[in-house]
Amino acid sequence: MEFQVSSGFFERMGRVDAAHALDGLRSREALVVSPRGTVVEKSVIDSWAKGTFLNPVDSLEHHFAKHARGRTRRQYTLDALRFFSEHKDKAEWGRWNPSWSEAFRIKVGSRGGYFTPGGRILSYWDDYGISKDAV
Amino acid sequence: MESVKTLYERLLALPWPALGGSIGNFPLYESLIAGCAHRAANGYEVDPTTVPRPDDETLTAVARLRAKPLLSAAERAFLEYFELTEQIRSTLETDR
Repeated sequence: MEFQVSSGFFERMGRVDAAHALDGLRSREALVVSPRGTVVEKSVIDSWAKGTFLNPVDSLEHHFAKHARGRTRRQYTLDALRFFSEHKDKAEWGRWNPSWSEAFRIKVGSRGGYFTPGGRILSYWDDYGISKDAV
Repeated sequence: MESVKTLYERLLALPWPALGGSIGNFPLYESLIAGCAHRAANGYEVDPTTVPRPDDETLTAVARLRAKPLLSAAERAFLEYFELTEQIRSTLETDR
């Protein structure tokens, strides 16, 4: 079977983090290599909206760096999707920034997120890994 | 004046402020400005007229914090983070 790889594929592969690659391979899912060489399951990437980033991978990487606190990309993304699913009844629809289109906003206690009409994640935060004493 | 790339690296290195999720729609603004900064830092053009601005709720909360004579550690951390996003916005609007 013949296939073509996208431009920059080999450069990205040269930066692949072996540990993340193995995690991805164990999941037996289609994988995506991020510009920084991180291997992520395609279903995880597909859960993210790109927002103002160039693509959903960059968006995931930024929010992961900010909010994951020790979780894997998959765990952090699943927590965001679970939050959306469990609190859909509390979702507010509106324009939350003058420069951005309408979206769902859900805030419940110290957790919250913004989601596209299709349920893709624009941003998600919670208190995972934060000691209650520190809050 | 620092480049957008340097400012974005500083933003990445700064921990998410504990108050970030409870102030207006700051989490969405942070995400939008970070996306623009990431684009610019990677050499992509960002139209200065499309650079997002903070929402009114966030601006009101920030004005209230700035007027406080004494700030808690969490409030100081939030303001520091917010100032950096504003520095990025200002650079994106004028530097391109």
